[in-house]
Amino acid sequence: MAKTNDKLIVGGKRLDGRGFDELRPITMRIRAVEKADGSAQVSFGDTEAIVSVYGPRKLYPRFLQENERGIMRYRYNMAPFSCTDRISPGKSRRGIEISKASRLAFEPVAFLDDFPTTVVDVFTEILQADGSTRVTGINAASMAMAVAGVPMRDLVAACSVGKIDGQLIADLNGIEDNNSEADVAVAMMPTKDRITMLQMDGVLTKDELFTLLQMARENCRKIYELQKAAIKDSFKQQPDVTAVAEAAEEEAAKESQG
Amino acid sequence: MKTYAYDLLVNDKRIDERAMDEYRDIELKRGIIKNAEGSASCRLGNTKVIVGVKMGIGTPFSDTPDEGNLIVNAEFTPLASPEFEGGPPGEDATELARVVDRGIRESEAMDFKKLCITSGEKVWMMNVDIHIINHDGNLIDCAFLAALSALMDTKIPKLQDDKIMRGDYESELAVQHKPIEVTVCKVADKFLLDPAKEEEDVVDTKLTVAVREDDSICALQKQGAKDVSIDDIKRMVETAMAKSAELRKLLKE
Amino acid sequence: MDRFERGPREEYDYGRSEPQASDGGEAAELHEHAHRTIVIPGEYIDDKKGRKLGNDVYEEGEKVFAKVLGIPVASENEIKIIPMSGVYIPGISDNVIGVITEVGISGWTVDINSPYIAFLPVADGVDEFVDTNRTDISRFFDVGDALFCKISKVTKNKTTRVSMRAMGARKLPGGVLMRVKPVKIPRIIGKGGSMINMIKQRTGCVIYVGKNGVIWLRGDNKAKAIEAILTIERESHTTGLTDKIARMLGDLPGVVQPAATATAETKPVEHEVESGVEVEEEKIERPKPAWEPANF
Repeated sequence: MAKTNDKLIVGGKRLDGRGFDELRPITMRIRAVEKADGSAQVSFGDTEAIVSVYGPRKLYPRFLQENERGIMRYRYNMAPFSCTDRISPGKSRRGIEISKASRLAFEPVAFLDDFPTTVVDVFTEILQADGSTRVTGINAASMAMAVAGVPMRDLVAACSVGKIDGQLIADLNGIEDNNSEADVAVAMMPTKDRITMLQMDGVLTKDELFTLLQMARENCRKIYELQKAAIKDSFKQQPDVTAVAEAAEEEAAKESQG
Repeated sequence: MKTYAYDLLVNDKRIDERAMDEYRDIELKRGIIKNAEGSASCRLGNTKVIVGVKMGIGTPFSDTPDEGNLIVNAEFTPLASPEFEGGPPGEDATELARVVDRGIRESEAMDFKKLCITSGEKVWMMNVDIHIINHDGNLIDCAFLAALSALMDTKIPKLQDDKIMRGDYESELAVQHKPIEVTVCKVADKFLLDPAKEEEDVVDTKLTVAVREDDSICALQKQGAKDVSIDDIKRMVETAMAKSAELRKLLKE
Repeated sequence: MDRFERGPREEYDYGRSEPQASDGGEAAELHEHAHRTIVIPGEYIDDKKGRKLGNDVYEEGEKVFAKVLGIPVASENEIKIIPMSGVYIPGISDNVIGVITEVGISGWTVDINSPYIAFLPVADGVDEFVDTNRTDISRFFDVGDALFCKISKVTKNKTTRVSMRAMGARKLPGGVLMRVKPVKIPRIIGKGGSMINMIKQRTGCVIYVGKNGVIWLRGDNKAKAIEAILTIERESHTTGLTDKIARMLGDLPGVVQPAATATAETKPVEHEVESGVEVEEEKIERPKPAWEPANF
């Protein structure tokens, strides 16, 4: 996605009309992949991720097994058609780094000690990219793991926060992501108030960073409520239910309070 | 598996009698690789990293037609540690390269526009190659010091009819900012800096913070398999900021 | 086959409380109300108050939280979760159906539909004395054979042993195998066995149900039985399931209909296992449902 010299904030609102602390419309659906032990599909605006979880299952080759606990493998991948310019299939350095950071977002959360010598495989595919892909993937992965029955301390909720045109914002879309002064990816255990992933690029003062962390914490809590509702709703009704967040309205109501 | 290093650290002791926030002995040398346009080595205790900068000519990206390119790569060479295997960079080497890259890039340490040769057609490509020589912990901090020093050592070769005249330089690379990367570690409820490998193996969490000379934060990367509180993050960031000034003094002009 | 469990008395009951509602009972009832009380990982259930904790909950101080998606059950003595999904983890004394994957010298490797493989030692598989140096034990059980057996030992890192020295343990020749989500087994069995017995009676099939989510069926009407079982798996969280299955199975020709008040005491019609007859074994994983995506 191209860089732009245009302003990203016009008339006190972002280019897509959102307030500064407003999340994009969110959809969440579980059991998106029938073959997987657990799966979920999540979208934040035009960014869409689908995740399958397999396991715990036997880990081969055996030398990779750990006697004391299971391991987790996380693969983040962008589909070739996900961006405006086609992405060559195959591993990229960015994909490798994001995979590692995402895996570490879940390591403290899953009870891997309960499953020695096994592996939990998490496959995240970004189908459509419009900013904040890794956190969208993590939100879906968290739900997929819960549905698969992987024991966890909590769900994991993730969001992006950052700075555009001097203004601190939440949930960066593509154009904001590419033109931001700073962008931060945060993943948390929402009910425990603990951070499991933190990455940042850009230029921020210490105070700006600390404010952004607080914004991330609040938004992760909102996202958690949506994840919880989406999972529980699916068990109330048949077959799959898409839990559509009324985030935009809620945010507008809150924004009007300043 | 917790080892003796763990027992020491939770009692505020290091394996080598340092303070918890003390770096090991640091030695930075520049201009050590003859065929590189810029080079430096950093020895941090027993951890040793060599960085070479090679410049080449390439085409700019379509959205930045008048800017040069930076490519950072890291090799975890098998001679450096019994844990390193040969082959293409694994996730740790990839992560290290990208974290060093972000510290340099986001802090705007270099003005990429000055690396333009012909707008839209030809620009300088800077390959910063990080070669781990000995792994005794804290590779990122050591590699970053070496990389920034190598950039400060880099000279831009003369161009004659589009051919690079190696060994013949026209100018020095302008390094306009001095970011430092400090990795702060947490084990149980203790914080420490610059872990030796044995200490690094038992830490729960690490946070690498890139700090510019104006105290801006330019990059953050959390590593490690444990979770932290927001207060922990704040503390680690402040510790990194305080330490970075001390380390920056090593980067003489 | 009236046998006591022989061999070393196993005691390593690692990590397992008493068998989870294998008689259906409470679990089956709770599945009826799943939509009302389901909890997600990390949700608070209750204060511990000195009670025993099941496998799928964890404590932080006095508070007890769910580890997995499921229905919390907090009784006087225990707090636990009935999970909605998850792989089968071997528990001591579980009755399971396993398939032999390797014939060794002193025993067999058995696939028990779990990330953990089980081992059946010769001494626990066969009554007679076997000189393992001279005998090729594949003459007792060979690769591909299905066995109804019991988990006899589980170590801390889940190394598992099974035994044929248990009530009802036997080789299951012919027939077909199917796999369902192990958490659905209590619902498939029903309260006191009511659901599975109804299926057996109305289809005239022999059916063995393993706690590990593997089911073995034999009989002419097994397709109908399989369909019923898959329906239960898919709709286990709804109410009125028993009636729905009863209507599905209806009157099948040639099968004696039991009296309207069928109870668990009614003996199911069983076909004698014919020895020495080679029957083709089909292994059905799961027929594709007509609509997508598949739900539990």
